Amino acid sequence: MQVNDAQTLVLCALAEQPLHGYAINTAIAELTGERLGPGSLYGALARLEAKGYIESIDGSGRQRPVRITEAGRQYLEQSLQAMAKVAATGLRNLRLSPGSAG
Amino acid sequence: MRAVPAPVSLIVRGLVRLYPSSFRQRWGSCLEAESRLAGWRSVPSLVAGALDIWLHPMVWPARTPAERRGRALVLAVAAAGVTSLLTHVLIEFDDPVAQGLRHAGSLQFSAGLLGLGFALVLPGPRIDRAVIRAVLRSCTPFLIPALAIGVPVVVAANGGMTDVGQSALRPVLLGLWWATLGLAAVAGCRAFAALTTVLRPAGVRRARAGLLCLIGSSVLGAGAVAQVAAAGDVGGSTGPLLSVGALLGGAAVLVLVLRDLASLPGRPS
Repeated sequence: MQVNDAQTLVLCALAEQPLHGYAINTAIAELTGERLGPGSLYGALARLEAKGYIESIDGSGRQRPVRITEAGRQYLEQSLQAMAKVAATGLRNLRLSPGSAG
Repeated sequence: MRAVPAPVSLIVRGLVRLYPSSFRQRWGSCLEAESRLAGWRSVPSLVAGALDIWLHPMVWPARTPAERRGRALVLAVAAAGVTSLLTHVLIEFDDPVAQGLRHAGSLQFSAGLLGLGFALVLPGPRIDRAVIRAVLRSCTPFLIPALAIGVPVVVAANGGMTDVGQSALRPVLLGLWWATLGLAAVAGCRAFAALTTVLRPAGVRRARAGLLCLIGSSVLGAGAVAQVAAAGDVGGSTGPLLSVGALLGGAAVLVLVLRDLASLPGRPS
């Protein structure tokens, strides 16, 4: 899993609270500086739903809020910890402290 | 919120319609709204997303895991059937390669694997009136024209016109024959799709075994065509090259289906 992977970004956005598609993309834009393309965003949502990592909650009109499931939360935690380990090692090898890069 | 130009709305609506029906029912209105706001920049993402989703039917919203698996196997049968048919059409017009392949043992083994693969991915054995009606309803629009064209062609080739092999009508009859096979292939795919909706699709193990057979058949077929084309004098002929490309492309689609089958638990949604 990569840090800019659409599915990871969607799960990160949903980790805090249930959101609908537009709000998920807004949260991703705040995190990375750019919105996902609509095809990438809804492809990622369909995949996450197929894997059981997100589920719908009741919504009105066109808004279809989704929330992260327990399985999704566990998967995100494992992925982020693996990424954090790689990032910490990379930063240490570069002799940088977390937060000083970029 | 800014106004969205009418051409953008029209194009976005058209592109969203490229997505499968079950995906549109679940995500279509949100996808359309988000794409309209993004404007022209959304077009490449929408097109790439539609292609991606069609190649991964297991991620389409579904009521049961079996429904997801059934859709994936329909894609597998269509990919294997279409590439196999396309290969035969391309080879048919290249006499040296067609002659060489008649004696190629690996191609016969490939055909055997193809048949075994189709048999393994077929849905369960329960056949009743409802099943027969569903299958006939889905494939008749293609099967009737196929029979209407194919039967006279076969009669003409084997009966009244003994010199058809040398006559000026040969290209016409060949064209009609391949049109018949094309229609029959569409009818076959639709019949298979109908079977997967009324019967229980093959289980995961049987589906995996079937997919491996179909992948093996495509790769062996590509190898046989490449070997015969390399050994013979086929200078300037693109048929064998296109055949190998079609078979390997079909194998790539089958690998995607196999990977999805392994990585997705097939949960209902």
